[in-house]
Amino acid sequence: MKISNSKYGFLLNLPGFMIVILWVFFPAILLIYTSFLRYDNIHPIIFSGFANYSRLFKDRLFWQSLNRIAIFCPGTTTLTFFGGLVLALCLSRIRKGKALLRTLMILPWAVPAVVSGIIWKWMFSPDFGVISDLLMKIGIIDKPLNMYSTSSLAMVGIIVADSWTRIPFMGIILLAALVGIPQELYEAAKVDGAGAAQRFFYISLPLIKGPALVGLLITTMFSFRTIDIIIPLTGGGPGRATYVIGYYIWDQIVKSFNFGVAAAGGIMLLLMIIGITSVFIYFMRR
Amino acid sequence: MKKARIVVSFFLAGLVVGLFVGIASGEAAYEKINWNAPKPIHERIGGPEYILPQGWKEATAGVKKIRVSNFGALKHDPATVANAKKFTELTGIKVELLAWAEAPIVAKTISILAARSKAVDVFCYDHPTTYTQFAAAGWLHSLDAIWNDPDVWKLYAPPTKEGLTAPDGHIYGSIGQVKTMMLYYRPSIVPTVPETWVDLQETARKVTTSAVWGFVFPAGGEMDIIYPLRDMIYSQGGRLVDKKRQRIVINSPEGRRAWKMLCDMVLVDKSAPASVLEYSWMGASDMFAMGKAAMVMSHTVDANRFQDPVKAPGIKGDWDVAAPPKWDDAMPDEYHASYFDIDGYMINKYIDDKHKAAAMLFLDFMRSFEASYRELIIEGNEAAVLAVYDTPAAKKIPAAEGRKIAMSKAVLETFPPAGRTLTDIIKEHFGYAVTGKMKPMEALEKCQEILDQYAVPE
Repeated sequence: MKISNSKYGFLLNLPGFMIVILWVFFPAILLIYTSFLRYDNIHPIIFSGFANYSRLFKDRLFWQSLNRIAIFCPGTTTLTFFGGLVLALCLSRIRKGKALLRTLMILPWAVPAVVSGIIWKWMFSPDFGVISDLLMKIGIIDKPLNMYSTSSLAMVGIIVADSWTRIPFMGIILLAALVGIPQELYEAAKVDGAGAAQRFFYISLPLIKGPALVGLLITTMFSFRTIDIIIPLTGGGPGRATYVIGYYIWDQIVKSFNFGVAAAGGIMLLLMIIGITSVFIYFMRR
Repeated sequence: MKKARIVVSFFLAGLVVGLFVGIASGEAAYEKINWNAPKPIHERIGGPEYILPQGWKEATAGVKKIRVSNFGALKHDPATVANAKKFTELTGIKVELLAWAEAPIVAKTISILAARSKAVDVFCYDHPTTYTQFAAAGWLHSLDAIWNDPDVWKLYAPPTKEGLTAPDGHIYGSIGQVKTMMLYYRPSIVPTVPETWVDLQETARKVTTSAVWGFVFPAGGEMDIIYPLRDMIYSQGGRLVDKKRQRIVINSPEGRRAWKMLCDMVLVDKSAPASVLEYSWMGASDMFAMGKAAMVMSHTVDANRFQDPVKAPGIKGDWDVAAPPKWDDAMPDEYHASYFDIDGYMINKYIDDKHKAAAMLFLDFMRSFEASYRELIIEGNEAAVLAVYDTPAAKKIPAAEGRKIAMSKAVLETFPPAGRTLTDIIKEHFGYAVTGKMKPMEALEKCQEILDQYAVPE
């Protein structure tokens, strides 16, 4: 029996479709369904309409967590982008030991976020930490820095720690884009008298825009759901200074056992990510 | 006619017998175990060698292995490993200990139970608050049968029964080891050990230098701020839980004094660092071990660590231990009390009856004198069975007598099922107080206002 090209293509894609349905659509539908249930593991499970959403919107911690994610997400995405860009620019120029340096570059990415959190907690520790000690020795501060026990600094601390694990990923994407730019363009620009800054802004930046937006999109999406680095670093504190929406959802499941409210929180997170993604896709298509 | 009657009678008799046989065979496997035979439970598990209950073999027939979750790596739990091995020797049932990392252990347990999975037979828990929450969710198998002997409770410290009794009056858990806290101090810095919290505050203020804090306490990890608050409230004879309304009360006179003293130590006396907001109980004990603190309230088991110069390089033998302080001189000596905590096991409701029988048997063994002895002697954990402290080997453990006294005076309060969320609210507001976002007593009142929203209405 002969089958058409389109049917053959469909058959080849079928396993992929199945995986997407099983691991993406099915959990998403389950999440939506659960968000409409009273599912608190104390009372019998019943359909409760928008009660979970109503409870969510009345919960001070939900709004606090949105407030924190509004700082954390842009903070970590920005730092990751610029860190990755600097790294990629440096590595694109290095010729000797290129392979070794590129391998070393991805090491932080390979470190589990929980481990990374513990490492940064130790480094920033006011009691034993190397950073406070170093800053005191060179005279920048005169007493240890209470990074994770000061409300304003704790957010900076988790942004730095989180970005550290994501910079290599961004760096790889940008490096791949940078090395793909034909050298002739730079040489022609040089002949025309363009300086380094002009070459960067008029050649490099426009040509890496696409991959950069993809990197930014992925980093933004990941930063929305970050909690694995925050748990060991601050546990959401001090107070609720680093209590992001992912942490709120985690607490609803692990501390309150309230799967219904957690699912409603998950839907809100999903909507936020879809909103942000749409903006990125709009710019990518322009 | 007569023949017919005889036939009907035989038929009915057969029916009745069949019914009885049916009921008998419908008996759950774990119900075949007679926990009070060959001896009453307290004698069977309270002697130097554990005695298996009657009927265990029939009840567990066919069970080759049970899977038991464990807090962290097994290399840190040699007593648990030794006890599991001994259980296998006794019963032939292999115990597969699952070394789960501590941070996600509750999340993993929830995932398995919410999915009604049979993947794990026995789960460990680290606190009655967590255990109560699992019991309230209806995920646990009742263990009333293994506690069905009034004398069995006499083997353990008095608060044990309260800690294991769920809000519905049933028991769903058993004991592995127990915990309480004592005051550790460095004699070179603190020549006279403070007997009261009032003295401790004053001493901490006097001995603080640029290199050493007077006193450190945990306020960073989950449930950690509750440790010092409870100690200070119990030292005044107060309590944290209003049982009637299932409400946590921290703005009682005792709670206010405790809250104010902790805040004052950081903000006024500067005898404790602001970084207490980063410390878990382990972090606070690390500070002492590294020589950065003159005093700390820490678990009794830390005595093992502090005596080891490799694990406690900052103190190198310069440490001693004392009973938990009472609040002030006016308080009776009974108030030299810290909190009492239970690390134990609970059984997955969704496993089959034979595995439930095997799991119950394992829990029966793990709460025994024999298993407790290994916990204390091999691993240095506290023994659940108090008589273990009277054995010759127990006299050689660090701070043996103090540990036994601390265990006998410790107080246990079971938190409401939302306990972990409530303690987070306390941690949050203590954070506001220490970081200056709110004034200490304002933070306390605000905190109580939110805690009250979770209580049963009056």
